[in-house]
Amino acid sequence: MWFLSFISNVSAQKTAIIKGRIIDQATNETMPGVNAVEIDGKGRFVTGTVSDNNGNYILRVKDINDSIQISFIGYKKYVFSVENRTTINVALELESTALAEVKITANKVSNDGITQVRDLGTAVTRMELKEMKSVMSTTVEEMLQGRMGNVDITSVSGDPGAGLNIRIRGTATLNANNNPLIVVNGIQYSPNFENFDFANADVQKFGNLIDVSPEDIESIEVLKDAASTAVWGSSASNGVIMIKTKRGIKSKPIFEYTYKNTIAEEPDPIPMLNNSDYARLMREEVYNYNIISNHNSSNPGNFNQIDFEPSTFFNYYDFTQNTNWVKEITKVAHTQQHDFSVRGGGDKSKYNLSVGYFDEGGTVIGYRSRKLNLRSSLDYDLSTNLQFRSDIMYTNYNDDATFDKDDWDFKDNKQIRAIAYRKMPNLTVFVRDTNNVPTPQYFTGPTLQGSSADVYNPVAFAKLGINNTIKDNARALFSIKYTILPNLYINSTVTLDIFDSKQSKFLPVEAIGFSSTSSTVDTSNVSAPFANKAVNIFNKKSSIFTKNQIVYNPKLPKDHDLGILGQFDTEETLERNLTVKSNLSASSYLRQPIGNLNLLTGADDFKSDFTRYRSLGLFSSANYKYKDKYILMIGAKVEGTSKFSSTSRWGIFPTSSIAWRLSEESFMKNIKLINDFKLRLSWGRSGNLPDGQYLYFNQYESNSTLNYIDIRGTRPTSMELTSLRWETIEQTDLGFDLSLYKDRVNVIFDAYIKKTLDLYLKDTPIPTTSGFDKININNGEMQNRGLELSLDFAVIKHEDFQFDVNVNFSKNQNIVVRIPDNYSNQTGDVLSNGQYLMKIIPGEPLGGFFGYKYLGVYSRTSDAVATDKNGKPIIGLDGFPLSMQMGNAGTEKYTFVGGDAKYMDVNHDGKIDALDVVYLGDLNPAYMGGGETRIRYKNLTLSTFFNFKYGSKIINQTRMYAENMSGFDNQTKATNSRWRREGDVTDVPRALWAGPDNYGYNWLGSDRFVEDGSFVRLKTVSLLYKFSKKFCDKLKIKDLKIYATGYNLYTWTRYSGQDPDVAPPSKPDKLPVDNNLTPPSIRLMLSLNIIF
Amino acid sequence: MKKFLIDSKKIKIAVLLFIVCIFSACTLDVPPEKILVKDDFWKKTGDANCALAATYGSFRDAALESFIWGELRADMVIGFPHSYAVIAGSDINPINTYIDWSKYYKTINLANTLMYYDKNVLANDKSFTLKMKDGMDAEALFLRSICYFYLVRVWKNVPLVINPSISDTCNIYPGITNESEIIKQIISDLLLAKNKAYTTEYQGNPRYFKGHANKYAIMALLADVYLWNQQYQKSMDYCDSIINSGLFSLMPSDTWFTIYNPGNSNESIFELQCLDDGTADQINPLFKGIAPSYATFINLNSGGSGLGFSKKFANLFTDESDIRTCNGNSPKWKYIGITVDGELTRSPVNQRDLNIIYYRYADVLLMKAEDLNELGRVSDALDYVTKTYERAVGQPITGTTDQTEMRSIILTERAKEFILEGKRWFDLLRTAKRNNFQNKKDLIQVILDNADARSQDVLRSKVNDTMMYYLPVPYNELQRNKNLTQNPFYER
Repeated sequence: MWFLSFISNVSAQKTAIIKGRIIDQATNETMPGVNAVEIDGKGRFVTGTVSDNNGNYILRVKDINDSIQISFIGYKKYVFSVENRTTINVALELESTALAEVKITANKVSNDGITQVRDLGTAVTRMELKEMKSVMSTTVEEMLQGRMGNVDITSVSGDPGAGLNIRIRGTATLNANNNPLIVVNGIQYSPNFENFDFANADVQKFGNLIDVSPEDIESIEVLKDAASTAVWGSSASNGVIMIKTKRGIKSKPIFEYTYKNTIAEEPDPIPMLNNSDYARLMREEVYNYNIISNHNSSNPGNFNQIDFEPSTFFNYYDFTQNTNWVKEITKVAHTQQHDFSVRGGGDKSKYNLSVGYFDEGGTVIGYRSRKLNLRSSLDYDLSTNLQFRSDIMYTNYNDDATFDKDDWDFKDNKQIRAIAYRKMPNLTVFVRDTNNVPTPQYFTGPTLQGSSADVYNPVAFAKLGINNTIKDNARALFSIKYTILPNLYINSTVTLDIFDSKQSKFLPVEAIGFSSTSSTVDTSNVSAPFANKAVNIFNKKSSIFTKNQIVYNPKLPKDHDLGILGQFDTEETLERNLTVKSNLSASSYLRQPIGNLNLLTGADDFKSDFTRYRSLGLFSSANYKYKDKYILMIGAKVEGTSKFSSTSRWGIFPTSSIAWRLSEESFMKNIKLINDFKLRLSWGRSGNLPDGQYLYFNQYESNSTLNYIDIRGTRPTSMELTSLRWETIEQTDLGFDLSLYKDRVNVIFDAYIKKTLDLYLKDTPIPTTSGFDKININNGEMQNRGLELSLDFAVIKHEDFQFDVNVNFSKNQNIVVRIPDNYSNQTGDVLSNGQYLMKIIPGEPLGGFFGYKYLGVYSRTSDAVATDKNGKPIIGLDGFPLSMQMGNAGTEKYTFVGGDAKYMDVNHDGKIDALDVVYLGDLNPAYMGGGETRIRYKNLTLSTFFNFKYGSKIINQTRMYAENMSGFDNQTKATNSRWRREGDVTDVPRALWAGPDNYGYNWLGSDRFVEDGSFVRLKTVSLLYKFSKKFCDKLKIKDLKIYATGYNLYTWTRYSGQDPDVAPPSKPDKLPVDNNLTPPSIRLMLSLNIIF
Repeated sequence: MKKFLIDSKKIKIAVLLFIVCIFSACTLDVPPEKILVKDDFWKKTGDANCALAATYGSFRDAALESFIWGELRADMVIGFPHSYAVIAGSDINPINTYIDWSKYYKTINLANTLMYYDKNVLANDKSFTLKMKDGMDAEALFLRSICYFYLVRVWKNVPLVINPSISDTCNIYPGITNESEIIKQIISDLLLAKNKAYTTEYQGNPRYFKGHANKYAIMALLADVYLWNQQYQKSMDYCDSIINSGLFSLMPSDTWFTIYNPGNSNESIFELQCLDDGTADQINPLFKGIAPSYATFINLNSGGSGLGFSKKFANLFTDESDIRTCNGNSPKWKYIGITVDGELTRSPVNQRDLNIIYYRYADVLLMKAEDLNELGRVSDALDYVTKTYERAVGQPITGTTDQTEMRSIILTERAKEFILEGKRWFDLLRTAKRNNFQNKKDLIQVILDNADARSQDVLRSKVNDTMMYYLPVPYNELQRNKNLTQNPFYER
């Protein structure tokens, strides 16, 4: 055992008593409370004392060969040897007031603990907080958006508490995890629940969250290639975002306070029809439907909501308003943020404590998000070879949202904004009395749109419905670093992470106009399932991570450096959850699920779950450097997981990198222009795990439909998946780092190929002769390749005037290389309105979609004929041109007439059907990037930051539903230019009610609703004023800054919706649609930062 | 200042302890706590019983297909739902969603799994005896065999899977096996099963006795398979074994109706049990897929989504006193009536617990008649073919000494006796394929009659290809399994 060789040497000791007085060198005043300690040759504290009120100290020294250290916070420490003195007076010198600004030094150590950043051969983007300090941000994601190459961060919506979608170097997997690992101070951070309702979960709910306040952050690193993420293992296969928070420093206590106040407003909504235009449109829709001979019987009757029947005079005023529903649910949002921290420390211990409070209002009524953050870090050096470190973090969230989010049956689109857009504008928000005076009661009566449940009053929904989530996240880390030999140390860490949440939802009857006080409730009423519906969802996840590292730097001859790292890590995660739902409770004041009679009985309405997951990892790597010129790293991670069976649970993932510092070569040393030039090449593999637990088990179920006579039927529901294994992501990265003009220009360039091998394919169809029809397998390959370039240029570097530019540019191209023939994952029925075809095709990028080519509108019925390749009408057997038909499979073929949408009949067969479908595009942007300029003149700094994406295609579903003119939904102003009579030439088809038989094909999935999502956004403009030192001294503070920041001030785009920066869908079979989520708001923030 | 005085030994021990407690982690075998997995199953008699129940339950789920394939392309009923109707009209495309064999293979896999794992139960549970295991194996073999018998009659050549799919390392991509191989497998399985099976142990419990495959059910199936395979002597031997057992008899004409209501009559040999406990779990599957009740499923008046009767059907019963017309109520009365002569109709809900009869004594008698006729003993055959006729009409059937005429008499008698019991198409096909499709004329006529007038001419050029009497391999299966080959008739 290694420790046996460390039995301390016992040698003769000579004790002594020394005393003395301690004074401040500058003022000559005596200093009470000063530490005086004896330190032995190994740096350990032997004994110690503190000076009294008069600055006197007496210290009994065990061994006069030891040294004595006198220290006080804020003063330079003073070390001396006793020699033969007995009285020793000390004058302490004030330490310079250098604050917590972190210097980027060349020997900064990278995340693996041994490699110096300067010597990395891997692709790592690093961002020091200092660079960001001229801009204030409310959240971390805001700091990161658009700033780093191929790190695509999109907020899922502009609502407070909405998650993030982060992709580093594209989407690499079909069914497994695509999110990067977020590591805060060495703690892996995964707030997502794995086993809860993932079949239906969307990114809205389960996006990433980074709950660290921007004020706490010291640096952020993004690790992109496999060689750099290896140490983190499988959870890092999609990259790592490493956040380091500020830690204590040796200083007197430094207090810092930051206040931020933000006002946010939504960008202008899409203009919608007003009440009279709406009424005219509805009439026209139904007229066009009824003139079809067999449709007269389905006449929906009189619209007393539009026609104002005398018989319903009492609600005349309820239907004669001109309500702008989007405006009704929108408000100006205020956000407040306070961050307070104190840090400091002495020689042996350093601390940092911070507390933050964040209260964000949403631009949609009903949304609010509050967050309380506590964080403490304590570093304690017991001796020079034994150090302890502990971090404790606690976050409490309290988020309010509107009820609609996931519990209401809104066609394709569950957001309250989407409903507000389509709500009939002549409706009142509140019930009106006969004098047109609004009453306090929300209007929820039957309307034109009342045929289904999705049309009730959105304002009532938002105001009365409850959807509150309380989350608690506590994380604690404890680590020991023990230096055995000067060049050998071990570092062990234990981390505990507990995430607990409770979501409560409630929808009172008043919000949906359902009323039943009788004992027998008409449960066939569409709104009955939602009346007084109460939902509780409890989730708890707890993880224990351990990590043990041993690092050895053997002594080698000059010019050779070698570092060896060994690591052993474990993870155990437990998750449990409980869902309870009830409805039709007796009163709207009973807001929790109650009563055995009222519990809902659907599959997801009452359930609990419990899962456990474990993994083990072994990692070893070696770094070798020769003469600061050639740097080589090789390593391998061996990882095992409980997700796979014993035959395939272990994966071996090798990594390697090589770097060549050209600038150290003699032939380049003479080029003065270049001060550092390093070529890097890295290659590595990492494993990726599928979502879900217990996938490989041969599972059995009792299925009551298989009961026979009086015996329960029990059967296997799956095969044992012994060959289910790791998805392997292999990345090759070639890049260079170049510094010119004494670091004034820094260029980082990377080119990479990222291959996903053994693609995990969930639910792959298999021959039913096996008794099953699908299994999960690993088969297939996907590829992402791309370029990243970032450039930092200090154009002017002068004491009073400084001008910096930094630009990043990246490109990523995704391709599905190979998948089994029978795995197409096809979705979408192109013969129905509003649907696009999606499938995964080898050789094409993921997320591509197909549809018809839209050619405008048939001006006359006589134009709606089939044509041949030359555009000449095809004449039928009866001597007349053949009419264009819809190729639907039903009984009666639909024949296009004047005013109908015209689609390209690609194969000229006179039929619009699946054979006419063409590729329309995909969401993946061709290029993206961002650029920042920073101008400082004396104490004033102006920063502007732009980001852009180019070449993405978005299905504007908002427009699709607001221009289809086939239901009773309100439509956009664009529909005013619709086709109305024979001969009209326009791009917008006629109004045509769909009726009960889904009549008409005017809004098939076509390029009409596909738009270019390219944009350039002026993301931030920020003005910073730093008060002069003189002024600060007068206020007896150290530093004072004020900021004014504008966000999302302007977006240049051809996209017609509110936000072109649409988050990619959570699953590959979902369309990239803009479905009316709250857009990012235009915001103005004033803030103040004070240090004292 | 004692706190600084920590000696280095303590530190080392502390550090070591800390690391040891971290290393003391865990195995990676983490079984689920909420899900039943294989390792927790196959322990007790009850487990084996549950697995057997699921195999029957799964076969019951395939009964809709059993019925439809037995009637669809034949000449008794018309007017299936659209996708079935095109199959009935021989407008058959491999992408037709109703061309689907998956339910049979599900049952086969459950039977295979049961036979593979029930030895574990034998080892774990003393109360599970070898006799129980043998009886269970026999039932599993019977269920597997009857599934394959349906498959070869509908598809002719199909994949033969006799091992359970228990892991993704199993071969789940089988190729096509010839009909003769499958028949060989069926026969050897059934011969094995016959010796292991229960005989009269459960006679006291009619639901169990008729609802589980015992020795007699196995022999009835054997007789049917031998008959299909033109091994008439063997077929007759097993018919005789059943007849001689004395356990079964033809119900007299006045209680004839109890075959259907309440079911499990003395005439029944194997009858899948259905149950309507209000949950629809164990109801007759005909009500799950197509129609809410038999009356709408088999509807004389409308084509629609249900079935109508063909013209041939209407002319089938020449004698009005034939009880099988259910006193002129039409033969569907046997499914919807409460008694044969009453006016009481079962409510649609009550119809849902109708059992599905696969083999009854009448079948054995008529199989024997056919065997005798094919063996050249035409007059002996008459003795057997007349029995059901006599019961139904009250007088003997008009006989003949001509073998060919006798064939047609037997075929017609089978049509009457088993009308709407899902057997007609297989009777027609068996007759047609005899001696290398010597007698396919009648079958061709049925096919042409079912086709609509426009496609008859096209069909006429194809009907001589005997592979067209069988269905194509489902399109999805071909996509999923490259080892499969399409029925050559449907190759393009």
